[in-house]
Amino acid sequence: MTKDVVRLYAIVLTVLALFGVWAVVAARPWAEPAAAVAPDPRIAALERREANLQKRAASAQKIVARRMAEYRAAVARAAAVARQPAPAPVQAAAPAPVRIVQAAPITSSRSS
Amino acid sequence: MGSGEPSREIATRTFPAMGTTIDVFIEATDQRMTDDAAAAVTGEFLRLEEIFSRFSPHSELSRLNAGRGDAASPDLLAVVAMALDARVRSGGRFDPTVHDALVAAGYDRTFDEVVARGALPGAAHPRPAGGGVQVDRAAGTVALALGTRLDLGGIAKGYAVDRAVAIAGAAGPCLVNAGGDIAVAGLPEAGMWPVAVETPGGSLTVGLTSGALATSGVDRRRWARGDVEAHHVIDPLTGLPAATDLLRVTVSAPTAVEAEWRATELLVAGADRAAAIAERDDLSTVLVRRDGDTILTGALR
Repeated sequence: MTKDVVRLYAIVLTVLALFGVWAVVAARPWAEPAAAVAPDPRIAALERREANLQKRAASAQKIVARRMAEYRAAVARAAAVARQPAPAPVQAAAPAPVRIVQAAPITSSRSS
Repeated sequence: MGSGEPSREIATRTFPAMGTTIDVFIEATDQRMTDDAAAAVTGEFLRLEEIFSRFSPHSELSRLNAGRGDAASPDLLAVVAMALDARVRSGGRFDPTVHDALVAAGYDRTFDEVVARGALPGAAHPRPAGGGVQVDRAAGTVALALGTRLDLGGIAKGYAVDRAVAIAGAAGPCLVNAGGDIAVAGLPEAGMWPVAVETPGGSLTVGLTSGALATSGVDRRRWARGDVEAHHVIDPLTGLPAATDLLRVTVSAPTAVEAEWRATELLVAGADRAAAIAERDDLSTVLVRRDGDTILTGALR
């Protein structure tokens, strides 16, 4: 091998090593992974709120369903009562505790 | 006596109390029960007079008015509470805090002593009512605002009458009349208790089957102050004897307490307003105007 060939090989190897080092440096294996970056707190809050709303909506649906069932039952009862015959008329009001009479008084109510 | 049932007669007992004459009528077949009931009623009136008389310095009311009240008795608590309720329901026309106005008008001693004293010089100084009164049933106390004193004369008499018929009613149908404040319990053989109510033309007879009747007027407890006639029905708003065109008011109510304050309310209100109140509240009343007209309302119409 001549000196020129050796020199050529050395230059090529140096360039290759240079590229290799560059590649390693570019890869930055000592750096933290991207997934370890803190997430946006606003997004986390939105997600929590959405979960909460879904849970409350489910509870509200149950309450509405129960009240609707009670309402339907009340309507059915009222309809059954309406189909029954009318009740007897109420009794006349009690007579007033005082009235003018034609009788000899037993005593008198005078100014006190 | 074919039925075998003992005859029922109405026995009468009369005694003085609370500055007036008390009449007790009991229809019973048992003389002993009648006597016992009458004695119990007498004792009750005297007991309550010791609590409510503003003329006795040792009465519970006088001690309260003097700021020396301790724990209030159940009767005082009850009557003060009723009086405050009446103040609200009457729109202030009945007010238990008219004590100072009554005294300023000249009613500072028993009425017999007022009559004996004769006319007073000069006009009365107005003492508007409306003072603060606090009833604490839990603690059993009555607290009066500074300068506030109570007169419970009329309403206490009504209270005594209600209690008296409850006591006497155990012996049989009864009627108790305390100077015009009347309450009944049960029905006599006649089916009702006939009571005379004075009118300008004489009187009319009212048949009472339950509840009570009371009359308030300016024609009896009155005296002269200078050129003006004073009387014992104070208008709480002015603090002076009420300037009313009514001479006398008789009211029917479920209890003697209510009949008493209603009568005062209507007397203070005057004829037109009293008739309107009677119509609104469905009251049976006899309203006698000073000009001689008589207005009947409710079941007495």
